[in-house]
Amino acid sequence: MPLTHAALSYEDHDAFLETAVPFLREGAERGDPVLAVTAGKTELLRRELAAYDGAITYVDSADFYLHPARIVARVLALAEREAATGGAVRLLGEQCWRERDPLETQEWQRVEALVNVVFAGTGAHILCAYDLGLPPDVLRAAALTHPQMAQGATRMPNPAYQDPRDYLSTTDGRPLDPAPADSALVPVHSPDLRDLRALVAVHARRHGLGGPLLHQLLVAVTEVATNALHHGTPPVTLRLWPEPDRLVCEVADEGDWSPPGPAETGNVPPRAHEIRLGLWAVRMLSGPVQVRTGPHGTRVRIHTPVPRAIAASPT
Amino acid sequence: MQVCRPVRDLLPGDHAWFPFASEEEQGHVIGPWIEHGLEIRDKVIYITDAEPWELPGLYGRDLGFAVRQGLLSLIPLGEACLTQGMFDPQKYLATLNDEIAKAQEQEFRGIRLTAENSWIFDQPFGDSRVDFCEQRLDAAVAPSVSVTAICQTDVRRCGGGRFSLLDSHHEVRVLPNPDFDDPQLTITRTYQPLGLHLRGEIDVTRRLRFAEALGSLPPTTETVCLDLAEVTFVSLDAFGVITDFTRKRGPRCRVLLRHVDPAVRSIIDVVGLHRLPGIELGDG
Repeated sequence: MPLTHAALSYEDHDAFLETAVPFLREGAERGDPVLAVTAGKTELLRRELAAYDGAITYVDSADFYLHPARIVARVLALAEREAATGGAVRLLGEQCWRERDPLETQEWQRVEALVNVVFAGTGAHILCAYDLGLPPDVLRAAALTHPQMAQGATRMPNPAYQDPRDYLSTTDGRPLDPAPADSALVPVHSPDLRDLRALVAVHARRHGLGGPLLHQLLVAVTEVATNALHHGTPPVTLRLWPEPDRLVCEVADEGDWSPPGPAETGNVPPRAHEIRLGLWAVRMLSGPVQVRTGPHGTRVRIHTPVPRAIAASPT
Repeated sequence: MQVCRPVRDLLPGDHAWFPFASEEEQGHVIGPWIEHGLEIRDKVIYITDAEPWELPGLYGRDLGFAVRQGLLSLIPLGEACLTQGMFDPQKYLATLNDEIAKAQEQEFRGIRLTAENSWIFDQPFGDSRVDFCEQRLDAAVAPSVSVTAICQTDVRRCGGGRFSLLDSHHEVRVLPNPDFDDPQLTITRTYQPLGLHLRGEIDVTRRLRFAEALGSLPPTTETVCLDLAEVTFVSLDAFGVITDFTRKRGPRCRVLLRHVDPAVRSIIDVVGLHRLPGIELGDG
């Protein structure tokens, strides 16, 4: 069964309900797993869909959209399980765009494009709600990443829709902000990465990272540095610097890698038989991961969120 | 508290215990210990009915030359510790004392003493006789600057409280020598349960060694236990080595990870155990 992925653009609650309610109701009546993830509209929907209470799972956006790669993997696992038994996951999603910083916004917009690749063939029905009062760049990206527009029970082809590979290629082709001049720069010569891990750990601890979060960062940096050493072209370097609420680690080499599609840069969860987890696992273990490739080298920038409480406390 | 030590690291004064559950395991520890002792011209005293070519881990190796040179003494049980077919603790201790004294007279720098004691439990009053012997032996060996002793126990013949009885008499428990050992990673074969004990960091630089150690485990093994209690880092590549191993061994093969550090465990939790086919989490 094909995926349906539509944007629901609304001005007010009535317009939202006109499309959201029949979408959720249809799924509940079919007995499919139905998720309604909204920014504060749970009670509104519950009132309208009282007859289907128990058949619909309501979640607040802030509790659901915590991590791009992880939520994609979770929903995909559910969608594939349902598809295997003839069912179809139905998700009404609404991001909390106003609470996102530019990097997070870009990451979640990439997810919107990736949904068209990752969920293809699962038969999932995904309806993404966009308040027309959102910033224009958010609405523009929504128009580029949804193959259908929804109004009521009607689905119309979206003429602005862009092939997700093109969208990602454009997004991932944008130059990264330059690293700060005072960032730590370390050459990576040896495949023995123990010293590198020790250095990253020192910086990370200085910025409040420890325990499992630090370990996840070390595993992610090790994976990316190993890739650069094995497949890239020297010199390989590691840069580290702090940003508000984040620690950034960037591994660069001077190779000319040109990945053929989003799967190669870790955007698509590996199939069950695939042993190499690679950049997908790096994305799972980190915050936003930016990959830039081309004839002038490869850069993988790993952003690790530092929990606010820790970041705010004196070190 | 009991100290676990690879057999290569035993020191004079160690009265060590080696519980084993297979001839292979016994050979993996006792063979290298005897061999190394003979190499450095220690005196090796083994209470056994075995011939010089039948020793654990050295089967088929003719050690007659070592016997002739007086480096290796194989003392049959009847001569060493039996009286009318029964284990005689006094005779056993006297034999050991005599042999140690002779070796010291011959000015051996090191004296290695070993015997298997499991069979004694099958005899009347076996438990109390072993208890008595172990106490006396400990008193003789512990203060010594030349004698090292390994008491071997076949745990398949040692049930009930006997295991803890023997455990309590020895401050050192013997492990096999590591299959691989460098400042980053130590890999040691384990037999109970079957698998590997790992210490340090496992990443791509030790991929081959780790894969080799896994590959050297008996091909019929369905459950392989990896003790990760002393592992501080496991790269994604290392997890790949494990899943590759289970895939090659077939669908019945599983690798049980035991005593996983919480930070390492977090990697598995985030990536998802279902993405690591063949890997399971064990106790601890």
